[in-house]
Amino acid sequence: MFDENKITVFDGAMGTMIQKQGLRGSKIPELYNITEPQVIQQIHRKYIDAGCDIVTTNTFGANRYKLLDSTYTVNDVIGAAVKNAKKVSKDRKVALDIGPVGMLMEPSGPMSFEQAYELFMEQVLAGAENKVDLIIIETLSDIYEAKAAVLAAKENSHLPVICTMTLGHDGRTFTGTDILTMVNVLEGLGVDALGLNCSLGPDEMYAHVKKVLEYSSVPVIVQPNAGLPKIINGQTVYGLTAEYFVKRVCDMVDIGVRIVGGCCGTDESFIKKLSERVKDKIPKKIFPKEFTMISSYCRTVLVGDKVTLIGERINPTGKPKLKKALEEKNYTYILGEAVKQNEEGAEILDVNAGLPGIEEKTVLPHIIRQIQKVCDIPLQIDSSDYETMENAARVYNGKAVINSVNGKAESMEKVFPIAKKYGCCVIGLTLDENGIPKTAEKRVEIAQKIVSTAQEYGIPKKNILIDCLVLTASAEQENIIQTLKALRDVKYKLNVKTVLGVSNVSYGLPSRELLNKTFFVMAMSYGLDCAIVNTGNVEMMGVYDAFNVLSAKDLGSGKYIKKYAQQKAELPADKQENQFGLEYVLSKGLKGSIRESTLAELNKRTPMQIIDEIISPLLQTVGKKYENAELFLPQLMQTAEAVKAAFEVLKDHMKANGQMLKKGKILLATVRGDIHDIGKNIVKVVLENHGYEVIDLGKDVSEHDILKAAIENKVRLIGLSALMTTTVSSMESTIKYIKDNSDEFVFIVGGAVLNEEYATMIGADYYAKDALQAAEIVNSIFRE
Amino acid sequence: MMERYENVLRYLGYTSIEKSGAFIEQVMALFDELVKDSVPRNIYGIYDLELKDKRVVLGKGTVVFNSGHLAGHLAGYRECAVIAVTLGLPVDKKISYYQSADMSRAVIYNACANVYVEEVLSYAADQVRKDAKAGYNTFPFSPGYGDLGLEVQKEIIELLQTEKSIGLYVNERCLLIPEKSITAIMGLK
Repeated sequence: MFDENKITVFDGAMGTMIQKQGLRGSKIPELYNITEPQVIQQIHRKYIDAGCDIVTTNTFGANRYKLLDSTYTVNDVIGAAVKNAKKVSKDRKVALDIGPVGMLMEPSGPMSFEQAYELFMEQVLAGAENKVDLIIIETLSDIYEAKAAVLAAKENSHLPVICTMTLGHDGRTFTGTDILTMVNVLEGLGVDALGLNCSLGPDEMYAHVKKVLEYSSVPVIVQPNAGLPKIINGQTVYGLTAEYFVKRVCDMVDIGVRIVGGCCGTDESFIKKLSERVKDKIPKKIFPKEFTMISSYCRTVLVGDKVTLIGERINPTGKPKLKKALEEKNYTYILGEAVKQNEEGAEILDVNAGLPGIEEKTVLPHIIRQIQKVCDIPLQIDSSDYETMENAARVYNGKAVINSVNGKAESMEKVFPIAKKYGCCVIGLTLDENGIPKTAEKRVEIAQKIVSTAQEYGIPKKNILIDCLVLTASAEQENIIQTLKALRDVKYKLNVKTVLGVSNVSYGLPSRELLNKTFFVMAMSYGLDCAIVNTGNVEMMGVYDAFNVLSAKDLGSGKYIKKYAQQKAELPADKQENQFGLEYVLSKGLKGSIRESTLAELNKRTPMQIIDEIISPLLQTVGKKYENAELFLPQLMQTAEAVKAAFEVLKDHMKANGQMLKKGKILLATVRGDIHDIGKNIVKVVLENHGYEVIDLGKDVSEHDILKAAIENKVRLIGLSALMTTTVSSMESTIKYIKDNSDEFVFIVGGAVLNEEYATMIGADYYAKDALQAAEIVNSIFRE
Repeated sequence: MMERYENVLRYLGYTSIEKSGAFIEQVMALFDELVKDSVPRNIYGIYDLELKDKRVVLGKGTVVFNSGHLAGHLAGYRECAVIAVTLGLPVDKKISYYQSADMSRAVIYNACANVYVEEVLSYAADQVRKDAKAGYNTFPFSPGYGDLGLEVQKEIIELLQTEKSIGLYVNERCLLIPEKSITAIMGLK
């Protein structure tokens, strides 16, 4: 696509030029392609005369969403735009320009991944039909939207694709994507060039571009603004001269940038100088980079620095609680497991939903979306079903790991195209049609076959992680060392990253933990890169932390000291050896000791006694102190979290004995249009502390959904929250809608702008000024 | 640093200052984390100002706010700036995250974000004053104060093109997204 021996020059700004031509006032400048074709052609001509190699069509916002109020279709606008460019382009190439849709993506905004994909697809199809030479997707700030656009381009055309994103001074996009993540995801998706444009001038962009070049194995493009923008009386102005702009862009060419152009504020004079100045420059050679990187949308794990921990717990095999959660679609529990593992120090999470009776191909993608709503940890897609794998890889926001492929021909034929298309890393198991080889040599052979076959699919070695497979010591004792030898050879001879699921080793033997942690240390010494482990296991984490000290990965032992020095200090000296009273543990919020202390208490009292004699009095004391301003919200919540953890233990215990804790149900929601839900969640945790079952519908919930959930769950009591004056009206209409349907519901409302009087006015039955008052009201209602 | 800490406590409803070292440490660690998570952005425009009774006319009619309180606030000023700042979406996501992980940290982090977005606003306000070479400025007056309704958020977002410039959107109920964002109008002379 691009001449390797010269620097490729794009044109400059379109919007700036349109304004200079005296056209103003249109909200959709793309319509000028139809209404003022001469003007647009004139702009293209100016850039061509200035010496650019590629002209960009005037189609930045030519998508169905932005054209909604116009009488033209995407096809009309793009058809006219390409015609305008081609009419004057001579031998220059024409690039279809695609900008962001202009709508926020889920979960913050209303646009789903599929909607974004469809909008982009229409643009791509129109561009391809009109025979553009390439596609440039530009000025994106959401990497998820970029993924939708690149996929749309590649699945609906055979055209080369360039993608640029726009960064702030801090080297991140609005949505938090950093440079490493951007390069990793876009390169994975197979773009022909990637880079930066807009927002910044060349001065501010330089350091960011340098970093892009360090990691990118594909050509890098820059299109800076003519300096930083200023708005004066509605006019946006840019400060840099063409001379200075070109000098600084040339500095970027000198460190390796291959494609240049201009964004906002640049005109033909910038491009003329630029093309003259880069004409004789010889592009720097691009070397493929060997970093194995796994990303979410804003966090990238660089594998190889030290052992990377992959959390294993979102996998129903052998986990009845998770199994039940999956069957009941209780995603809160699954989310909790994700968050917990992240807190424990997992760096990647394995996610598996393989369970008979569960439609894995829809459930796994759904779980991935739910986790990515709240947690930015990179994920590992764990499935043996190829359709599930593809669906999950498609909706995942970032560059995932697929778990797994193996040496069987069929497996490689199915998995590699998925890994290639979505740019995933993939775990390769060293087994094939003949099973798992006994010897290290044979396993390394399979590893070699996997790596070379991947390369035939265009998947670089850096995207493969090899799992040499752990067998159980009880059945195949001799075999353990073969796994380790194979691991060592894969790592040092094949130069491929390695991964192991550590805890298999101990099946069938007593004191499994002892074997697991010993094997874990052995594997790390042999050069393991990633370990799939239970990060909640204190012993495993302990040897991991210790290993990082002794292998000089935890420099200065800082992390180790922080973690282990604190553990002792949490407990007062006289209590360290003894069992703690549950009351003490709860009031201090000592999360680590709650389980143990609750279980100990269960030896002395029944669950109901614990609730009545310990928990309820404690909640009362804490509540009183809160009201007297002796303690404040963070401490209130600390106790609440502790009590919640104790309740979990009690519920498990009761369930094991065939009992149930049933005190009543309440439904909570933040009303339609309102996106602030921290207040509602404070109420939720306090109500749970009082033993109530809370059905939480989340935020921005329609009246229809609230009514439906209330009926389905047989709940009479509904708690609504709204924070702003503009959303109290949603609250009012919600209450009216539901009361019009049925008079059996009771409403409690709360929120910053409400008071007793206002609450009555909008039809609520009760108003609670804070969470504690809400609990009192709920108590009194259920007492009746 | 102490000022930050005290501001966070004020948001959390403290009536006295909690002096325990561990708590200060926890709050400040969460504040540091918040600063790292944030992608603070600001944008502003400077406009000629005309006050006609209860009408505030900017840029010779580019935009008009009907608010007696705002007009009173800007009385005596001939120029004004419209400012928008945001901490970005990663902060919203982290607040959601902490609500799953630990409500105690969630409420502290949330309060830190409220303090920080105001810091970002006052930093932007200083920038504006320097940029406009103004000697004086009023404090930034935001939609929701007095009789300036939240409805004007839509006009401000449109005026400054914040969707494209700083990633700031407004929903149908006039709430800003990302959540930790502020818009304001500030007199200059």
